[in-house]
Amino acid sequence: MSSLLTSTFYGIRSGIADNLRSISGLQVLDFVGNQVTPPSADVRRGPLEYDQAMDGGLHRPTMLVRVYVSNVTDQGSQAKLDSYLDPDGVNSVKAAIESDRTLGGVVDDLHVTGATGAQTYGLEGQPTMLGSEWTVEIWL
Amino acid sequence: MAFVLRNCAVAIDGVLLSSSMREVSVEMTAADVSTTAMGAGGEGHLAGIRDDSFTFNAYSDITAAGQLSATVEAKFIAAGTVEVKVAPSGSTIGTANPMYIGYCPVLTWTPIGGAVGDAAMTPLTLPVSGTITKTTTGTLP
Repeated sequence: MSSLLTSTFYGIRSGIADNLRSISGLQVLDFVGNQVTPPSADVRRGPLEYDQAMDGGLHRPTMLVRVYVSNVTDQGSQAKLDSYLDPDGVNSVKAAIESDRTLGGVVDDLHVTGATGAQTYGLEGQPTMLGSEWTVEIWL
Repeated sequence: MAFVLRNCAVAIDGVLLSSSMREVSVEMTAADVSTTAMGAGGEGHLAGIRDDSFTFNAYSDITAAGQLSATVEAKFIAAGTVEVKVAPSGSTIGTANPMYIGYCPVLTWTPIGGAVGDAAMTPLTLPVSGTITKTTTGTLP
């Protein structure tokens, strides 16, 4: 039976974060922090689909990974975001997250299905940041 | 009364497989035998021989420990027959939760199906030898 225990999500968060730490120079938090120091990434909960199989056999959580690169108009930041959005390569967020698709055995499988592309994020007490958010489908 | 199908119990050969099942269908069909005579103003119909079946769409489970594969694939290879039991709302059988039973040869086996990015699925149609029976007693699995 598919488990949605809080402890499972600690493992999912830390597993995704560990995978992302292979990207040089990217600071990674398992949870949303209160101060952003770009380039940085955090791991957060996304939508959740319950009862995808009979008898509670499968629930489908989604995790979101948000990356901030720096202020909106800086060309270097935009180029860095381009490299993060690559489907593969040393800076690819998708490739990094999918480098261990079971997160050390915590999940059955995961799939980075998409990214929002360049977005601007307003943060309390900080300048507006350029970044993107990746969707990670989790199979428990 | 309407209800949401969320805990449909499915057992194949005594193995409870509900938690692998995304879609379940119990189908009872009779052949449409025409009794239309000359001069009739419309078609005449008579129920003919039954052709019942169970249809499932299950999450693929092809590992060695996979219950669905272990239960059905071996019977397909051996050209065997499986016992199928389905109840709409859990495994406690009664008047409010009848059980449908059939004995089925495994004529097709699709261990993997789906498009890129989809969950791998195993569609499974099991035609019944004879007819599906409905009971309000018994046990599942």
